[in-house]
Formats: sequence, structure tokens, C-alpha cells
Amino acid sequence: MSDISRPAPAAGSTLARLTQNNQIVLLVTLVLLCLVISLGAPQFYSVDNLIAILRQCSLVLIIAAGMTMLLIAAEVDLSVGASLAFSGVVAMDVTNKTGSVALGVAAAILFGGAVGLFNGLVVTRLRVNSLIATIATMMILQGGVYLYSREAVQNMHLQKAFTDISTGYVGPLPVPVIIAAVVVIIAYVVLRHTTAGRYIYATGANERAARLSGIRPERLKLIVFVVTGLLTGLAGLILASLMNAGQPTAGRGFELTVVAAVILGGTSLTGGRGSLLGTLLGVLVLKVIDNGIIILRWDQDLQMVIPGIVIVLATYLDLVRKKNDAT
Amino acid sequence: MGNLPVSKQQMVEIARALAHEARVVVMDEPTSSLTPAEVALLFEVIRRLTSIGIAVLYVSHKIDEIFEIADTVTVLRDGRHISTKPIAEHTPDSLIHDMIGRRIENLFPRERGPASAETILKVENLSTTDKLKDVSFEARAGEVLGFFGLMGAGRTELAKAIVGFDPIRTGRISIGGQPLTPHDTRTGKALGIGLLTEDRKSEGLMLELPVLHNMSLASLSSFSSGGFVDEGRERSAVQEFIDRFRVKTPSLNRQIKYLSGGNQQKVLLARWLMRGLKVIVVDEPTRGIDVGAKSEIFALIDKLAADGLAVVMMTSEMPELLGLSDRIAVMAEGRLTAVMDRKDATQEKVLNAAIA
Amino acid sequence: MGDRLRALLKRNEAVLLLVFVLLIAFFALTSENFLTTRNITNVLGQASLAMIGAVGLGILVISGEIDVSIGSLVGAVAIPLVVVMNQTGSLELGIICALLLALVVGVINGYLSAYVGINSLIVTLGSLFVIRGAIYIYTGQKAIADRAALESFYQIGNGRLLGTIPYPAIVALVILAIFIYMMRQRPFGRQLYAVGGNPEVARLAGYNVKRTKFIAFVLCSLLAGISGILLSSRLGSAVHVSGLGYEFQVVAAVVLGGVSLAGGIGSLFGVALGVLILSFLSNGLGMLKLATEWQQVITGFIIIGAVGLDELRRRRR
Repeated sequence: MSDISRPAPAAGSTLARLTQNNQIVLLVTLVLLCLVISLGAPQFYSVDNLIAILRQCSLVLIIAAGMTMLLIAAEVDLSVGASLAFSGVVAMDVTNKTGSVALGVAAAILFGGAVGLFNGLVVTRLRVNSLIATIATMMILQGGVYLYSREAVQNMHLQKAFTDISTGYVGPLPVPVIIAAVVVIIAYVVLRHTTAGRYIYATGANERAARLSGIRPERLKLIVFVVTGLLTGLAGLILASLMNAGQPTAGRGFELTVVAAVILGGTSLTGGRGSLLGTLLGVLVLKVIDNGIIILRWDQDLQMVIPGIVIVLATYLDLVRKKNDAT
Repeated sequence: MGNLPVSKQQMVEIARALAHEARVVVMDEPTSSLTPAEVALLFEVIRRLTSIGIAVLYVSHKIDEIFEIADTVTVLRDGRHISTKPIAEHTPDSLIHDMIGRRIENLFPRERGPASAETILKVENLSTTDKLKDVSFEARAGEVLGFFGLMGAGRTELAKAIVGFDPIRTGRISIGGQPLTPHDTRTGKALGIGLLTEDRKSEGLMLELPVLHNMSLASLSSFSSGGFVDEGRERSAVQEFIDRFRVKTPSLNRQIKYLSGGNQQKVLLARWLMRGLKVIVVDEPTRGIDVGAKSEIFALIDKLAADGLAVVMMTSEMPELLGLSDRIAVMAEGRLTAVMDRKDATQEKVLNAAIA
Repeated sequence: MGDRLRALLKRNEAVLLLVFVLLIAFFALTSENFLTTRNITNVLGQASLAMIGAVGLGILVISGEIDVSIGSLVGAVAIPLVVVMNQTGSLELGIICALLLALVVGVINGYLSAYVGINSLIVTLGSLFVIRGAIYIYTGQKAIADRAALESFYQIGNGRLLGTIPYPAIVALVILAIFIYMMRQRPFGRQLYAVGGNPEVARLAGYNVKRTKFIAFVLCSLLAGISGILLSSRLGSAVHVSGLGYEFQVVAAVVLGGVSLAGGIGSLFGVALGVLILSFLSNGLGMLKLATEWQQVITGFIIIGAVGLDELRRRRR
């Protein structure tokens, strides 16, 4: 290593600006998307449609908040899709059996948390790479959910409170949107303004340096896995309420959507870089595209193709920007 | 190949270059992790290469090496060409002058007074599973205790063990009379011991993060209440150290990867000093740092001891060891082989103990 | 003797082989139908699809990259295959078109990852979505039936040499043998290890890092394509959901086989053992009359256990 200062990039180009840049690009993309879609389908701007978009964002957003923290800490959880379905089944089943919505809610969230704890222990204690560990957990849960229940668990309890979780409104806003907003705000504050948030960035950026500075990276990662699990359980509960059934096959491929949204939001796969604001924009962009495809009456399967292209494109743009920044 | 010692790996690399019928071989800091005997061997190989008509471009910051092996020397500074001369036209002073653009009056200024008698760090019968065997020593407030040893003597292992980073098998470590239990860095930090690592890139810096976050990492809790960071207080404390240590950075938000090695090192040193330590362990504090910044780091270390810290310095550079230490400890193969006062120490004595 | 045993146990492949033998012995003792020629050849036939993909992914991961789009590709190649057969009645033309599709996907993945420099997990995650979406759009989420009904098409996936060894197993074995030879004996194999182990050093040693990785991507896609052709023959049609989750299965086998996701470490022999262990495990558990879902659960735990133990072993050293 030489002691010669590297060629400095344009003044003031900092981490903050880098992520902001990415967010500005996303914001512009979002605005352009809205404009283009509304040209083809004026009903895009109807209140109903905008609220529908927010509602569709909420499930992804709840899990993506946890996933953002995980990716910043340089880990990943691919079991969220399977855990989402399983928690939904648990929520419905427990509510059926006990007649208590509160118990159903608690069971779903605790189940998700337990899955997160399992993932966290395997990754931090056994030191299994999280990509492979959570693929294994995904297999376990996908098999396990069928052993638990062969068919979808139907709503036998007919409790209004349970359906309200997904279909209720507070003022003009649907309940899931409010839940997602609360989750995102808390996660944002934690990452941005607390010591725990700083330690998550530090652990992802350089785990050994963090440990030398008296931080316990393993414990921190364990907690983030558990938080992601709890949020997945919460999302599973909302999903079960929305479908009015605990569906074992729900959530297939959901993990990929979540990871895609987080990456689109500018969070780096190698850890130490990313933000919740980016994730929020990433989810919005993906869901506005989805919505546009529907209201423009395009083939719905484009909902898979276009996000695929968008993720690669966004990463490419980020790469170009970083290269420009470095020279 | 990964299991070969570095010296052998280098020989393999040289052989690979020759197998490709290279006419020019470029060596970038080839001796940075070699023992003196291995360095001698490498120089022998270089002489043979040049004798059969192969040009060797030898990149190094070690002045004595340049005088030993080079025929012509080119000095670069800040990416600019400064001078190219036959080595015979240079003296060490003139070379340093070209390297840093000014003359250094005294590389090792000593402004601190004598060390106090108060023992701050006490290590008793320390052993680890793979390297250290029965190491015991004490460090006092206000002194620089220099540890010397050849490659593989166990200096870095000792440094990492006494701050709680690496596990130990047996032995007791206490800081200011308090035992380091449980044996981890969190306890170490609480008791007031910290390590300035030799491997900045993989154990010190968070390259992608700003200078601000890098510096405040170990002392974040002192700028926070209820888990929330008070960024205003954090910024002003960081700014204070930037000024005091004369860290050259355009802003606190600059990613630390854009700073020079010397400035990075100052930030990492400040990371520990911000929270007020009793003992600082510095492992090869001037590795990869230019001569100008070196003298600043030396002055800082002197200042730390003057402020009453016990400084434990691991080094493989003899001038640094003799220039800075109050007392000198020598290691060989995981054991402590000698402890002597600076005034009793000579290069010969130290080397003898290191080979023992 | 003790030392030699210990040295042997340090080799990942030896441990895997031991696990494999114990697994076979366990099922042979607990189920009488397990150790029959019919059953063994059946498992080999089933394992060969994962094996072919795992060889491709194995070399790619050794080169330090990853491809999670192979599951989508396995499903996708069946479409040109079946459509072209339906229109021309020629199996050969169908296979050529299927492999051309695989080639194009490999070239795109490889170009974007190796030359443009986008993280390969992201590139291939993108391809995963794009290819699967394209399948759904083209097929309207329905299977495309094979109307040509060629005997040769049926045979490549379901036929057996001399009535015993399934053709897919022979294809897999030949591919495995060629690639093991290449990894051990050919310069390209060594380049793959060098590039994955330390790209900077490989570049300084004069290797073309980008080209090596690019070729690994193309090979990985082509092998997934071959796997998709055989799967389509077994299914007798182009099924829009075929290959879903295939990438996870193959990644699991590759990592179980001792290939490090960080690149540069691992062997195809280990990969082959990884595939065989997972295949025989699933078959054996089926023989024990356990629900197929139990197989998934147990497989998941075994992956965690095996990779965890391997990590422990590495740390000890």
C-alpha cells in the first residue's frame, strides 16, 4: 500500500451523496413510470389505485425492512418466502383452534421469530454461509408446512378482527399500509440514528474491525436474523388474513422479490452499504411497474420479466456511477 | 501453495515469472513479511537475476534495502517523478529528502518524561493453543514497551490475545488491576485496552464508510443516550481529533478509502484515543506509511506515553524499536526471551535474543 | 496408520465418500428394496439431471461466480425443443435450438457478469425472473404437448442401455468424466481455480480472468440446457413450471460437495458425491415410506449439518 493520496473524486462526493444519488435515480425513475403509466391509463391516479399500490407494497416492505438490515450486515435470508407461508398457516390454525385472534397473531409472529433464531444460530454458531443455510431452512419449511397441513387452512373462526388485519382501514389508509409504515419508520430510525444501526453497518463493512472495536458481530447478526424472522411472521399473518386462509403454497419466490427490491434500492450484497429509504423506493418502483402492467392490460407475466431487467439495469447504473466517482 | 511460507511463495512467483521468460521482473515490497535470513536469500536471487541480464524493478519504502540492492533509484512522491540517480549519488538523508520533500530533523523526538512506577497492564503465564507459550510481562503508565521478534515470533498473536480478540488457553491478563474476563474485546474496551492493528485493510478500516463513522466506532456509546447517537456531539469530538492529529481529509464525510495510509492510521489511532484508554497496543504502527507520516506517528506515540498511557508496541523495525521504547521485550517462537531497559539494549543484544 | 487416516479425513472428498457409503449401508439394512439393480439405476437416472447442472455450476462457483438462473433455463430449453420438434419432426433440430437458447443465455449472463462487471448473483437473479416470465408469457402458463411423439425423444430421457443403465446417467457420467479430466489435467481447469482463488494474482500471472469466467458461464448454461432437454424427455412435454427450485437443489449439492462459495476451492468429484448423497438420501427416505415432505426436511438439516461440520473442521486445522 502506498502512502500517496489516491486521486480524489469530485469534492463532496461522500457516502451520503452516493446513496442519495442512487435514491435520486430511483425517484426520477418512479416519477417517469407514473407519468408514462398515467398517459396510457388515466385511472392510475385515482385514490383507489394509489391505495391499492400501497397495499401491495406493504407485505414486501415489511420483510424488506428486515432484509435491508441483514444485507447491510453482509448476510441474507432466502427462507422468508417459505416462512411467510408457514406463519400464515400457523396464524390461521391457531386462531381456528383457540378462537383467539390475539393468540393467532402471537403464534405467527413467534413462529417467524423462531425461524429467524434458527437461521441466526446456524449462521453465527455453526458458521454456515447464510446463502446456503437459509436455502436449507427454506427446504425444511417447505417440507414442514405440508407435514403440518396438507391443504390450505380455511377460516373456520370467522372473527372479524382477523380479517380486519388486512382489509380494515384507519381513516383512508388500509391497516397493512399503516403496519408497513410503522415498521419502515422504526427500521429507518434504528439504522440511521442508533448505535445498533451504526454497529450493523460496521459489522457488514468490516466484521473483524468491528470486533476489534469491542462490538459483538455474532450477537448483532443473530438479533437481525430474529428481527427479520419476526417481521416475516407479521407479514405471514397479514397474508393469511388477506387470503382468508393459511395457504402452504403461498410465498413461493417471495424471497427473490424481496431481495430484488432491496438490491434495487441500492443496498450492496457485500455488506456495509444501503439504506431503508432506498429499499422503500425500490419496492415502490417494482410495485408501480406491477400495477402499470395490470391497468395497462398487458400480459401479467411481464410482472416477472420487467423487474428482472430493472434490477440488472439499476445495478449496472450504480456500477457506472461508482466508476465515474473513482476516477 | 497456501500452506507454504511467504518466502517460498515468493520464490514460486519468481520462478513463474522466469518460466514465462520474463526480461523484467517487478517486485512490489517483496520483503514486507520475510525474516532477515529470507531477505538475504531473496537478495541473493535478485543478484543472480541481474547477473544473467534480467532487469529487476524493485519497489520498496525501506531505505536500507534500497542501499543494499539497488543500482539506480527512482523516487516517486504523490504520483509524481521526483528524481532518478545512481545509488552512489545518494546518502540516506538525501534520499529521505527526495521522498518527503523536506528534511526531518529528528525522527524520534522524545518529549515525555520518565515512566511512572504504576503497573497498568499485567500479563501472567499467557499461552494460546497455536503460538504463545508462557508469556509474562508488565507495562507501566507512561512508558513505551517495545516488543521485537522475527516473523513468526508471535508478536501479532500476543497483541491480539491481550486485547481479547483471540482466545487464550491459560494465563491471566489484568488492566488497571481488573482481570480481562470474559476474554473478549468488549471487556477489553471497557477496561481500557485497545489494539491498533498491523493489517489496516482487513482489521481496521471500514473502507466504504466515512471518516466520521470510522473514527467514532469504538466510542459511539459515549455520544449516545438511550441507544440514540447524538451526531452533533459526535461530529465535534471527531473534528477535534482531526485537528489535533492533523488528519488531511476534505470532510468528515469522505469515505476513508480515499485517505492516504498515514492519515488512515491517524484515524484508527484516534478511534481508540477518543474513548480514553489506559493501554494501547500498536502492532507495526508504521507499516505502509511514508517517512513523513512516520515521524508524525512517532511523535503521537511519544505524546500518548506522556499523557500517561502504557504503550505496547510490536515492531520488526529495529530503528523504531530502539528509537521509541523505554523498555524492550524480545520474543522468539512464541516465548518471551528477554526484557531489557533501553539504555542496556543494543542491536546485537536484541537480535541475539530474537534468534534464541 | 493413524496419521494417514487423519490426513485422509482432512480431505473433504474422503469424508463425503464415507458419508455416502454409510448412507448406502444404512438404507441397504433398513429397506430390502433399496439395494436392487432396478432401484440403484433408477436413482442414478434421477440424479443425473442434477449432476449435469451441478458440474456446470461447480466449475462456475470454483471460478468465483454463481448462476441462479439455471432452474429457469432448464424449464426454458424445453420450449424450443418441443416446438421445433412439433414443426419439423426432427429431434436433432430441436436439440440444436434448445442448446442455442442455452448458449445465448450463457453468453448474456457471462458478458454482463464477467465483462461488464455486475455481481453475478444479481445478473442471474435478473435472468431467473426474465426467463421464467418469458416462459409464462409464451406458454400462457400451460404445458406445450409433444405432438411429434418421436421414439428417439422418448428414449433419450427414459431409455436404458442394455435395458439397465438409463441414458441420462450415461450422459451425466461422460460429462462428469470429461470435466474432471479438464479440471485436473488441462490448463483451463487450473485457470478456473486460479481465477476463483485470487483474481488479482491470476491476472498478474497472465491469465485472462474475464474470458475464463465468461467461458465458465457459457459452459454452465449449456450443461443446464442439456439437463433441461433430458428433463423434458422424461416429462414428455415442455412444462412451464419445470425446473422451479432446481437452482437451489444444485447449489446445495455443490456446496455440500465442498465447493466454497468464495471460489477457488472444491472438486468435481466432491460435487458428484454431493449430488449422489442428496439423491440416494431422498430415494432411501422414500423407501422408508416417509412422506416426500420429510425428505425435504431431512435434506435441509443434512445440508446444514454437513456444511457446519465442514466449517468446524476447517477452523480446527
